[in-house]
Amino acid sequence: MTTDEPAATEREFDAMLARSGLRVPDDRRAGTLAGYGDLRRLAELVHRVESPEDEPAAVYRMTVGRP
Amino acid sequence: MTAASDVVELHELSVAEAGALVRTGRLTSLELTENAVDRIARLDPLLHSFVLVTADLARSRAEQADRELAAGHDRGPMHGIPYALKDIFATAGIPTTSNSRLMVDHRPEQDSAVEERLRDGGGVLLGKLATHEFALGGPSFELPFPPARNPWDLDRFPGASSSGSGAAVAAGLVRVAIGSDTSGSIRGPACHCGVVGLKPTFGLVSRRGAFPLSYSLDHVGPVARTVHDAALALQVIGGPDDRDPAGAGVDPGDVTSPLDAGVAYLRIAYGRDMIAGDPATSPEVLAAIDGAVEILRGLGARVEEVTLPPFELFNAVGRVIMAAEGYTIHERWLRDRPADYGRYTYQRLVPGAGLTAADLVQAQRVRRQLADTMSRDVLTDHCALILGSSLAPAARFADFPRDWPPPRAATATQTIVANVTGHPALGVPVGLSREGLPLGLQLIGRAFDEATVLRIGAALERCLTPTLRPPGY
Repeated sequence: MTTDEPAATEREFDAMLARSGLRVPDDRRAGTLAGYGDLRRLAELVHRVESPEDEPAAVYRMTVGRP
Repeated sequence: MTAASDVVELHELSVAEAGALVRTGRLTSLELTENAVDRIARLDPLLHSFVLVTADLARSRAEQADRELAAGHDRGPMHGIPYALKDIFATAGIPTTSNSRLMVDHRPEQDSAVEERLRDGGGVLLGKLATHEFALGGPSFELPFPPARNPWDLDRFPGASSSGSGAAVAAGLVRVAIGSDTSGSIRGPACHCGVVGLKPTFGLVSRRGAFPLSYSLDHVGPVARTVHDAALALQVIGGPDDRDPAGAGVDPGDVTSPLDAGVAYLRIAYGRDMIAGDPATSPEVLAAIDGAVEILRGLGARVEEVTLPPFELFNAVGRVIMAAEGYTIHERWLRDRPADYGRYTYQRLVPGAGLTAADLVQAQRVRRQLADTMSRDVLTDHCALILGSSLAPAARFADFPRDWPPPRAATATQTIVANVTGHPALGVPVGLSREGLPLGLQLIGRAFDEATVLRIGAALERCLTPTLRPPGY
């Protein structure tokens, strides 16, 4: 997924809305699209090369003493 | 009127000072409460820090607190002390709106964990405090309640979502307010309002009954006028809660005894490069933090500059996780009732629908790396890390456009670092800008070592800002 081109970002945005069943009111579209583009830019930063063994922070943990 | 209230302004008393007077019978909780209710009535119509004042309930609780103390029943440091809660914390039978049209009629059946603990600790609930919608959004004039204003300049933003908490404490309407902090919403208002804000270690203070924004980033903690008051509040609200899935089962311990121990020989890290390298950092903020560092060195601490992972990586991890979790929480309402959200909240929540499973898992993987790096490379050899809080003085409301996002300078902070890693972080004031606006820094500590960041904060407070109070309050 790329966010380099504003038109491509807008197409992705519209596809995302269709998939999610969201209907963004026209007068809120600009700010929502801007937020989407910014979030996609940030999301690309977390796709760094990792070892397969690098576990996420949210790994589920069983606790002694709980059923 | 008692002898004590003849010689001091009651709102200037700290929690410890007021508590001591109440315990010796020189002051009553009811007097403290009436003083606060009166100040709110006089000062809050312009400030908008409270969305609800529970005056009758407060009087009733204050009278009970006085009766108990007279009978020798002392419930602890908050006994008889008025406090207030951000309006995302459930209060049984009392409206809890999250400042949203979606919840404007909501009256919870049960109290949040922090309300339970403060009530059981003899505290006096004064009311509910202003928040951005669902602790997200931004300053907005289209919600059920107007945004809180900064008592240092009513045309300015008081900081992020625990905005009423920062404003009310700074204005002397309440000594302790409980806020929530997902990316800095306790420390930001503390910084912009010139008060103290503590984001405890993830899991130390129960989140039960706080309307969630992000399950793995939300923290609950106190905003207070002094470090000592924040420490006292933590002792009451902290500790195990089996009903918080993220509860760590840890007690905060005695965090007040070390407050006067000073900082001699402490080894403290300083992330100066991260602060100076951010284009949004105001030179005044950097100079004020440099000045605080020199004070700590003068007190005998060994403060050393360290290199940290890029801020943008912390920010990306935090924002992706917050967007994914926040969207999940609001998914149905976003689909069914979009017009009931404020513009900013809506525009910040909907983009979360565009994240992939891999985005979220990758963010959680990098999060573990960042947390490990913080623990291993920074906080093993150093007992705390100094970073920026808000990177510029408070912005004007006029700086916020109709649609999200505002200019970065209006909201730039480094607070999300400690939400991502989960370490405790204390926001403390470090002086005023040329325009007379508060500046601050944050002290990030080792996991569950709130005592040390509070100790360092207390040392700075003694040297820097013992009595910051906005003019007119």
